[in-house]
Amino acid sequence: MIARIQGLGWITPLGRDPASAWEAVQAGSAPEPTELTNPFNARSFPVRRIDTAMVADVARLPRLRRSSVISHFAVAAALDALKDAGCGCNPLTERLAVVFAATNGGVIYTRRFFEDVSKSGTQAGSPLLFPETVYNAPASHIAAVAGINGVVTTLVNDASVGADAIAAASDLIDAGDCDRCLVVAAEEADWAICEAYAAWKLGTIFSEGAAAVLLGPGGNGPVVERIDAGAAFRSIAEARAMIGEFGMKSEAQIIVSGASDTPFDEAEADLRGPRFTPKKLFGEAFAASTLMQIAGAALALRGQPTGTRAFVPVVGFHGQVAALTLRA
Amino acid sequence: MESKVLPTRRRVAITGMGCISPLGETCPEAARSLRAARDCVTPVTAFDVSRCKCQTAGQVQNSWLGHATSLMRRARHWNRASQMMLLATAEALGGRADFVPDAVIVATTSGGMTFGEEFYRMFENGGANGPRRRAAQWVREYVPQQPVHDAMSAFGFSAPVRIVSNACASGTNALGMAFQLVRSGRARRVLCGGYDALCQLVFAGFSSLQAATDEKCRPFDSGRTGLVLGEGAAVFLLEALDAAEHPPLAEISGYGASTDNHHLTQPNPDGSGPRLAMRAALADAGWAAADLDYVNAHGTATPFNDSCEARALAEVCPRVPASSTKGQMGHSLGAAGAIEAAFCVLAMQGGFLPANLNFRAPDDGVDLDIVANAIREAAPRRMLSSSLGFGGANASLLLEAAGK
Repeated sequence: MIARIQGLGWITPLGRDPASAWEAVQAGSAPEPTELTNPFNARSFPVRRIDTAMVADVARLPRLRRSSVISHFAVAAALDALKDAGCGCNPLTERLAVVFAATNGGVIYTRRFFEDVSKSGTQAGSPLLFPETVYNAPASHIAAVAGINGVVTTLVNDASVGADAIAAASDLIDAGDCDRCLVVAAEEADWAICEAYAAWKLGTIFSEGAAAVLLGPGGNGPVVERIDAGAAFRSIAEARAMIGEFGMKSEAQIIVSGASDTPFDEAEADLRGPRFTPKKLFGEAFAASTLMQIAGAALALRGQPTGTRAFVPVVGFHGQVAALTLRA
Repeated sequence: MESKVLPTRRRVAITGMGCISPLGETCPEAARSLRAARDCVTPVTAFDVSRCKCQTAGQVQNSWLGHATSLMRRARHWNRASQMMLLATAEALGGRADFVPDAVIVATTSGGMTFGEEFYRMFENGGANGPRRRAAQWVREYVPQQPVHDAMSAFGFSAPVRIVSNACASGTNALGMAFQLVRSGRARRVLCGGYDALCQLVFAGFSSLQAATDEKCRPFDSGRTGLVLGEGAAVFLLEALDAAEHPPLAEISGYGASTDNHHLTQPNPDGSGPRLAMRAALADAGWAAADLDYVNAHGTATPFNDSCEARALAEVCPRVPASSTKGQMGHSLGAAGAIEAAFCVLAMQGGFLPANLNFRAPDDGVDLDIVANAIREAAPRRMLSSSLGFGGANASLLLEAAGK
């Protein structure tokens, strides 16, 4: 089965409309980051946030009224991808699946829930917050809003999970478990994440957002030609060798880079060719960034001659690399 | 892994299995506890639960976790989750150097949350100048894939890692995905399983939902009042039966999953969610309900879960003997499906059906054959293991005795 990207959705710090956000990536113009502050030590971190007004339409949905912004981003991206594909999404006539990918998941509600527990005791957590702390809450909301009752799965890992989610979706289609599969990744920004990686001295600007692609067998969208969905590495030199090998095998003319001003960028050093670097504008949003790269690659191939390839390298902060090649 | 159609449909063997749970540090110990229908739920000691309604859980003994250090010295710095994964992986591999997986698929819901809790407390306790000495390690160990990477590094292999987190159905999903990879020929060998360690945040979560009980965990009993939590890890080695170099312990024969959009934390009372998953698994294997000798039910002992699941069981496989082993060890969340699959294999090997502890009487109008309070001697060959989770996740896995 040849899987194609039939539709995409993109919730980025630069906007929700994929075409205009991609124009900004090409132009290389980014707004100044805002700041998130750790209330315990008053330390501030530059962050690229999403204007929540951008997803107000989904935040008003009854199912999402009590959910965290990660679910708003995820559902908005998913609905945009379905709309982009012209998918009526009727579960009675079509078997749709969802693969949701995250690195940090619902960290805001998790922190708020634990704040209460830590201050007031194990008995003190809020029943409104806890259900939204589970990794698969956004996937569940996507399924409920879109009316999907088939396979809905959540994968968690470093940024490599974005590519693995595409692999899992392709497997579901190939196995006949669904006709088409919605792949969504989302993250939300919080000071706890900034503090966590500050301990690693990564030096990047963190962000939030979501991206979604609808994967299916037909249409004119780019083909998912090759997925190198995860390989563990123990040093940046090892990651560089693997990314170099994946890149060579891809025979791509365009690179949609995962570089985000960290030491891990060195893993892409052997890649050659025209390069777009969305994270320079969008910031580092882990799994969501990878789906944004993939969506970006699909946008980069629009209007390109048939057979043109775009390569998406991914180097996670927790020991796994992945890569994906799309063909126009 | 390139996108292409692979028409093969190979039989999938379990050729190695490791399990650490409140029932024992190893599979043979768990088999003995299962056979004895031992209640392994004990008072919680890891954190203060004195003001919680529920004050018990199924806990892995610290002395067992201490054995992780003998496998790898630096394991003494790891969290419980990583130590459990290491021990279960060691037992599953059983010294096999030939098992190098093409992929690793592991389930969890809370990952290394105990270190996440420590990380937060560091700021809370330290104020503006909190100690940061161990922060980098806490962050590294917090992520859910780290216990898997830790275990792989201990045994000197490396493979792509997939972490499945579909709440309490995760363990069954992980085994199902691994099964599909091997069956289709996409992978020759897969290491799969699930883990979850007891932590304060999750304990508080179920407490806040009033889903946890202050008395015994009584799956499918009409007077059930809620769940108790548990912990553990189970690891399996899967390979194609026709290429397996070690004798199979059992086969995985079918898998089905579904989603119930009724509510984030409550299943649709009509049982449609698990019913769809059970039917999909049976269709996947080409089995009829009459082929089943036993169902290991999710059976958390919450009023909502058990009534929903009982409806599904009554419709899909009425009168097939069923039990939930959560009465013995509590609910180990993301690990539950994997641990319960291990219990199924142990029961097939031991020739018995596991007991559903603390059962007195069924719900009105529910006619299930519950294996109540003691094991039943039998020669089960085909089993269904069912899991349900938050977010409406449902999954069913079919297991078959080796040697047919």
